[in-house]
Amino acid sequence: MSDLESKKNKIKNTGLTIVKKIFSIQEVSIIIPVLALLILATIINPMFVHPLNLAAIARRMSMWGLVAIGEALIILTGNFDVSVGAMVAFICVFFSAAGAIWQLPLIVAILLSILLAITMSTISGFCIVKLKINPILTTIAMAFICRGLSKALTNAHFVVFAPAKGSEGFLKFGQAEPLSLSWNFFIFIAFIIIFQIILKKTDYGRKLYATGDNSNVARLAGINTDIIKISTFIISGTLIGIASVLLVAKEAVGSSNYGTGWEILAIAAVAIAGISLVGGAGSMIGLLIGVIMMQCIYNILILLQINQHMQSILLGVIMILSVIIDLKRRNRILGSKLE
Amino acid sequence: MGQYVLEVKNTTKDFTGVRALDDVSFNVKNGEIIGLIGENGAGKSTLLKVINGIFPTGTFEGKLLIHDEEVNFHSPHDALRKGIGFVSQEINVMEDLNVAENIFVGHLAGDKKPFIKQDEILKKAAKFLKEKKINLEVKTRVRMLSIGQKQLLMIARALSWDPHILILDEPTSALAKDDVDNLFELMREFKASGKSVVLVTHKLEEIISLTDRVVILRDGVNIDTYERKHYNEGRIVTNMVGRTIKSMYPTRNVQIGEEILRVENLTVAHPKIKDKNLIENISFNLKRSEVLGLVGLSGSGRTETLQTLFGQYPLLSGKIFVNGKNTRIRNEGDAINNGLCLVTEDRKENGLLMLSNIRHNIVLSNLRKIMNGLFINNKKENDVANTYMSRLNIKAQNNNTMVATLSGGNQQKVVLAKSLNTDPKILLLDEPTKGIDVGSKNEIYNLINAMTGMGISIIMVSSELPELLAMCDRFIILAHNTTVDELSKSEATQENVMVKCFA
Repeated sequence: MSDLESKKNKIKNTGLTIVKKIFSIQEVSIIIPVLALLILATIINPMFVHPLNLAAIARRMSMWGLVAIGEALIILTGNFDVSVGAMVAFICVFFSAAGAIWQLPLIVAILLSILLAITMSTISGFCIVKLKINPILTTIAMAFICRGLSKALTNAHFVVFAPAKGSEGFLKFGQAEPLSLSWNFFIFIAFIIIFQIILKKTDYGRKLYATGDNSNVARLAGINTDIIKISTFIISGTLIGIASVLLVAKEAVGSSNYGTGWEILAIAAVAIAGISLVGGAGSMIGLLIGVIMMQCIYNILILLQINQHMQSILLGVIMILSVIIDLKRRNRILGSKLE
Repeated sequence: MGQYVLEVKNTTKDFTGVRALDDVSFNVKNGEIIGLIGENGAGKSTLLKVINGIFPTGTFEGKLLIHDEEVNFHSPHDALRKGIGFVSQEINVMEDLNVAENIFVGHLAGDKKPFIKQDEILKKAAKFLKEKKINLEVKTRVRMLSIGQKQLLMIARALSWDPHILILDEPTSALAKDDVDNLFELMREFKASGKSVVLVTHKLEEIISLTDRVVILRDGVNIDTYERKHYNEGRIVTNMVGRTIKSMYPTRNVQIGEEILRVENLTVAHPKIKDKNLIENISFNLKRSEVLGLVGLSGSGRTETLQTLFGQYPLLSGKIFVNGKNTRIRNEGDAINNGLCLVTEDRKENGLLMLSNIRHNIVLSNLRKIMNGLFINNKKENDVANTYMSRLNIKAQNNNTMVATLSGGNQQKVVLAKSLNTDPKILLLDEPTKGIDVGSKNEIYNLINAMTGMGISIIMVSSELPELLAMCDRFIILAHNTTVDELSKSEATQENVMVKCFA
């Protein structure tokens, strides 16, 4: 009798702990508002859940999502990069010019573009980490340089990619819609999975978290935090290069206006993702949810026919809110022991 | 006006899980010097922070009265305005401003005037310092001052607000003899003008020679108050410590081995001040299983010496020999690879990943140990963490517990576990028992002995001289950023050591 009761209790308790465990996973706390948002959107405009609309969301988010992965890693180690959008524009223009104007072989143009993105990003990283210049100042400067370079190369216009060697197959790849999605989407998801594994399962991931949480502690543990920090810029540059090449493949032109506002989208997604904006916490799955959420919000605003200026205002508000939530969460973890 | 300038009534202050003050009452009369003494962790600092508004009203239970009138402080500035001048133990000055600006900071322009007049401030400051017999040059940039001079500057700053009460938290720990005498004179004059001083100190002779009354705190409780006429050194000490501490420092029976580390003429340039050295010509050696104490006043270069050994500053000149081999240590990674490990003074700033759990903290210092090819092996990781948790007796539910929720003593043990996980040969301990309770201290001492038993050598820095004297086999005296003397265990007495430190 009592045996049976204790068994029942046990089952009940395990049930409770499972529920508790699910809710204590950080990502769950992000999913709930996303679900709420999706339901709200569907009520407002049933078109929202139309498969074609959802596929469009998936296609659109995968472009800047790649850039957001790099941004997330940079933020994870306690830095910032507001030049990613401008850098995308510059690399797109450079890549288009390399292919169409300078007639470089496609593979050479791609590699050169990615290399250039890595170089630019690493310069930012070097200035921030080694010369200890404020990350926001450094990358604002870098954003101006990149935007300026892209305008100079195009006369503030665009370069059509089509005359490039081997452009036909390349553009076909960029514009293909496997399963109504895009190759970009699968590439984005692949990178999310790869970096999730890197963050959670490798020593490099541990070093990233440690550096972002407290770089003094990380250094005392023998971690070369400077190299760790710069490495995030190198990864970010690589992803910016890949995203830019893919963007040109899809759009068939390189425009100096590309990437406008991507840095804000990326940072907002990172903030929503629960990746602490002062470093040290968060995951790639969280980031994926953050990216989906930002793209959904954008989509809803368009469905609601809210104009662009209003969108920009809302984006700002969302960022502030997510920062506040991040600070609250951090204070809760650190508890009242902070004197 | 009643006889009390300040009354603290029935004050209780809790931190998460720890009661720092338990129903403490504390009064200061007009025109007296009152001593406040107690061991580290007795609650003195907490009481001062309550009086000084650092813990704002509402964060503690109890009442504060000034001149019989209840006051509610929301910030230290409120306390300052009500006539409470506080000089903290930690140096807290603006390094790049001059002396005059530092003194009058917060009321630089005078009352309700919009602009600051530089020459007026200089004149005012010069007059003020002359009046108070404080020997400082008003135009000097504060960065160039010694620690003792900065301490005097902080006292001058507090006095510039013309307070009713001056609270001094261990004001003489960094002062030279002359400055100490000056300060005592200043306190007596302050008292003669009908105002009051609260003196927090560890030095009994200061209590005996200066104070009119002494209040003893222990474990957050107000133990006793003595009037001057009832002063009895023995009784004060017994009251302060409250229990027999014969077993506080466990004895060690370890054979000291051959030389394992030797440093010769280490000199490091100051990273921020031109033409100044952080440490100069530091030389000493360390033997296997030995506990070596680096003794000196704060600012004598003890911490910097440890940091240099750990590769945190580039050498200007000098050599480090590990196991007889001339070794270059360029960064922390080099240091760890050469068997050194540093446990820093400040757990929050330099010791722990506060956003992580115990396991992640412990394994961080040696990730190689838990790798399986490219990936972290969960089983290895758990094994490492659990081994150290049981070996160091870290009290927590499991290795998933966030370190931020642990007590100070347990946090310190996690820091030590993290260091031991690098399998060090030489452990550099900077204030290993700072801010932890007596029980945990005792455990740390036992741990130090156990480590020497395993052949680990230790260099230890501590501000608590009795601890250092009890735990170390040999002592290197540091003063003015250089090594001045070496004492064996039998030579080292409290007086002997202090005299050498001030030399």
